[in-house]
Amino acid sequence: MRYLRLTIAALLCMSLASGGANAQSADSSESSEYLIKAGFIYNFAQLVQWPPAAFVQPDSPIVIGILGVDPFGELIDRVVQNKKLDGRSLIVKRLKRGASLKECSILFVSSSEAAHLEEVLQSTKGLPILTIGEIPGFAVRGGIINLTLEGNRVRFEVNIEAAKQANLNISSRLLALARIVPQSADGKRSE
Amino acid sequence: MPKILLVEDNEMNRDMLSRRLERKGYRVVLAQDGRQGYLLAHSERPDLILMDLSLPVMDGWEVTRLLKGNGSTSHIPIIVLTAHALLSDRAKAFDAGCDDYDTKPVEFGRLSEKIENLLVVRKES
Amino acid sequence: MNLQNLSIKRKLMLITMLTSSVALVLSSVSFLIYDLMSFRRQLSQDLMTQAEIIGFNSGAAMAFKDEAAATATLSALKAKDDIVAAALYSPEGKMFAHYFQADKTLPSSLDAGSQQSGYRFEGGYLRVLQQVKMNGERVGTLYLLSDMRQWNLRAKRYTSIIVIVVLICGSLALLLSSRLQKLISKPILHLEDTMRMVSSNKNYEIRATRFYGDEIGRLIDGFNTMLSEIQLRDTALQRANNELQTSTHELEVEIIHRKRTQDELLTAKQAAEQANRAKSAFLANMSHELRTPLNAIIGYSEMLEEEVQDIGKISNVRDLQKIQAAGKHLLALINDVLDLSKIEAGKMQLHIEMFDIASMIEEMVTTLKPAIAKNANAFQLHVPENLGTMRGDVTKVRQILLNLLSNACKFTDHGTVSLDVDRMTTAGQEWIQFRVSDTGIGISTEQQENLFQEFTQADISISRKYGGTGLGLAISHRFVQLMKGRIMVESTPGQGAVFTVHLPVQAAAEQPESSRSGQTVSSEAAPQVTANADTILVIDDDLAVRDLMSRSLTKMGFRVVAAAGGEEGLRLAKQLRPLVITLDVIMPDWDGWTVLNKLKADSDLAEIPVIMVTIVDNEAMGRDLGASSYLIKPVDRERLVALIEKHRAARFSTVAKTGVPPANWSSRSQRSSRKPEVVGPRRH
Repeated sequence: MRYLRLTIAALLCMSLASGGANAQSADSSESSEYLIKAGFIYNFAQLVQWPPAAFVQPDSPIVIGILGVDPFGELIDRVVQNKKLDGRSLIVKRLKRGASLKECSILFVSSSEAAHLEEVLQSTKGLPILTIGEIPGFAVRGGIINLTLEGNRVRFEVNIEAAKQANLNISSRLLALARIVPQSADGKRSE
Repeated sequence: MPKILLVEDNEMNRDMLSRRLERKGYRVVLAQDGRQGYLLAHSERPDLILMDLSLPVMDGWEVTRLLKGNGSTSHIPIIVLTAHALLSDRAKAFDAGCDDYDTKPVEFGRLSEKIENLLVVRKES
Repeated sequence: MNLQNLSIKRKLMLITMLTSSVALVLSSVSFLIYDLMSFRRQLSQDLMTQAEIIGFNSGAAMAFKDEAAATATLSALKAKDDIVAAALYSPEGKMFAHYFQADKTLPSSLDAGSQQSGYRFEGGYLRVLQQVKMNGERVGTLYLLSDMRQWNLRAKRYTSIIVIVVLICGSLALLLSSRLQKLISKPILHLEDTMRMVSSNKNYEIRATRFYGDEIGRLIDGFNTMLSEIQLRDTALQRANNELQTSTHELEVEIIHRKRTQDELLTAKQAAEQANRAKSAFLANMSHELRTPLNAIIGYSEMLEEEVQDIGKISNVRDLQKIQAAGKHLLALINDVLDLSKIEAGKMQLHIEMFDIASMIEEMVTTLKPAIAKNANAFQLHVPENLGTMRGDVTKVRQILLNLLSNACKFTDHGTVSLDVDRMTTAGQEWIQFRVSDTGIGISTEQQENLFQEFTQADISISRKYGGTGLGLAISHRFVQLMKGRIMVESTPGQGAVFTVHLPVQAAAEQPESSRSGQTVSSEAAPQVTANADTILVIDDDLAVRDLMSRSLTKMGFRVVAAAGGEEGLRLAKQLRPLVITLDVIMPDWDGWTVLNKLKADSDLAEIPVIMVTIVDNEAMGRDLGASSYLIKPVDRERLVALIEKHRAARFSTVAKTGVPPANWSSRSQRSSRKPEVVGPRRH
């Protein structure tokens, strides 16, 4: 029985792996998407200015937090590996729900957290965190940048208000490429 | 009396000389020119001939030569009388064969002596 | 078009135009080039800048691979119409976005090598590549292509401007130069005109105008000065020409005169020659004509005297004797006069022959007997034994002696007349000395001076008193001269007189003077080698010198033979063995030194003394080569003669006396005139 379980587990793992591989390959089409997105995130980081207070030290790293299920995997690590922005290196942290978000400069809210979006956004309100999501309506609801998929293309929306609220200065260059999304009227304002 | 043939073309000379010779005792035969002289020399057979050199017809040289060349007259002594005493004339005369010469104008004494000499010689030979 | 032969005006204008054009064009072109080049650089920099900007602006789009955005960015380039193509390439080199204008395209991909930032000019286009970076990372490459139209335009525009400017300036320069060249050309052209006028009209009074004070002005001044000179010379030439013409004319006249004179002279000469011939004929005839009747007179009177004597008419005898005496006197006079005339006419000839001196004297003395007896004088004769013979004119010698002796007899009364004959050697030559001395009345010093002259007062009075013709001594003297002898008199009045005659043993036949060598050698000359004492050989190439030497030396009693050159001279020297050789130095063919050398080298001739007679003063050389003396022309005749005499003395003291005379001398006359019996001892 054990052997069977092992075999099934192995098979499962293998399928998973293959699935993973498939997923990988699916992910590779998916992963190319996320490679792009990773790249975008890196790019966003280049085109956004954090306020000086956002970092403790001049060489404090830029922390990219991934909240929820990490869709990037090692992709994002690879992208930001050895890169520096303004002399700051980039670290990717995976965060569980409920974890402290303060240390992040960038927070990628995985679509797994779609249900908890309000909370997340609330917790980041007023903090100089560049919130990036790939949840529809992310930007409307207060996220700063929302990655969308139009056809084969990865596009993004930007909520300027949210950026302002986060004290983040988004380069016009970025804005030029983005679809500006106004703050939803329904969107709750910070108190 | 020796006979002298005088061949002289000048009349006066002839006259003078012949008379003086005759006075001296010679018989004188006269010739007026060379040719006559030559002929008379042959015909008269004189003992001596006095020959003037400058003669008409035949001159003294010629006559002397002829006479001396001719056997019958060659023995006759000839004294030529010449106005010149030139070497060449004398030489010529002697070449022709004459035995003596005398110059003109004749100095009779000198001439006589010469005549006598030749006649004596002749006589002796 | 031959540039060298353009007119001054054209040349000047051409120079001006060329230089100014070249300057202008060069400067313009330099500026143009500079400008265009900097413009190009500027353009490229502009474009680079643009590329940077666009690159920057495209960075985000490239990073986000926002094609649309990239394209949009590129399309902003529309504003720049010189950019004909632009493209953005992904980092891999794939064209991402593009902007093409005017069918210009860009490559769809770029290789890695072409992705460097930079610019390049290719085929009239400016290509700029700019790396697009985000955060220092390359997100793509921007490619801009510019057609440089601004540059082209600028180039065209500027070039046209330059062309226009050049043309305008050129025209202005042309105008200016055409005006200004006159500064140079006008005076030159004027000068040229003037020159032409002067030479065509031969008018040397024209002068060129001086325009300015520059070099051309000075040239013109010079030209004018030259003209003045020419004018002067021309005038002088004219004058000289005129003078020349006059002179020529005068010369021509002179020549005509001379010709006439020449003709006259020729006629005169011919007349003189004729006269001369007539003279000779006359003398010959006169001789005969004069003597013949006289001979008749004398002869007949002699004859008559004889005849009368025979008869015994003494008185007639005396008369006849007077006739005779007169006739003889007349004859003597005529003979003397004729002799003198002959001598004067130069027609007196010597008839040289060998004769026995003693016999001649004997004969002569015989004829003197009456004269001696006349004044009851005693006669002494001293003739040495072996007196020998001499060569001379016997008749004349006899005449001389007769003259002297009869004079002696005439002027001595109851005294002694002596004749001493001797052979002697003086100055290297053999002489016969005849001394006629008497103890008569003597001759005063005054009379001695004129003794040998004809027709002097004393002679005439004496001849009247003492008889004789008075010409005897003159004739004797001339005869002695003719025979190259000497006659001298010593006397003290009251104590008698001594007449001495020296005659050469070897009398040279009288020869015509000749400057030709060889032909003057007498046929009578003895072939024996014992030297001809009298001969002097003159070697000189100058005819005048030979002539002069010959004449002077002949007068001195020498026989002169002349040679015109060394070769001839040597030949003659061998032939004649002269006493002395005079030698010139400067001669064509062989010079004197060469001849001297040869003379001294020849054993036959080495003994003959050589006197160098030359203008060259090189006595040392002369002596070294063996010349005995050295005289410098013009020659002192006395000195030369003295030298020759010295040599004569020296030479003949060493040579034996002349030997026995040749065997063929004629002695018949002597033989026949001597009575064969009378071969007694010679009287002393």
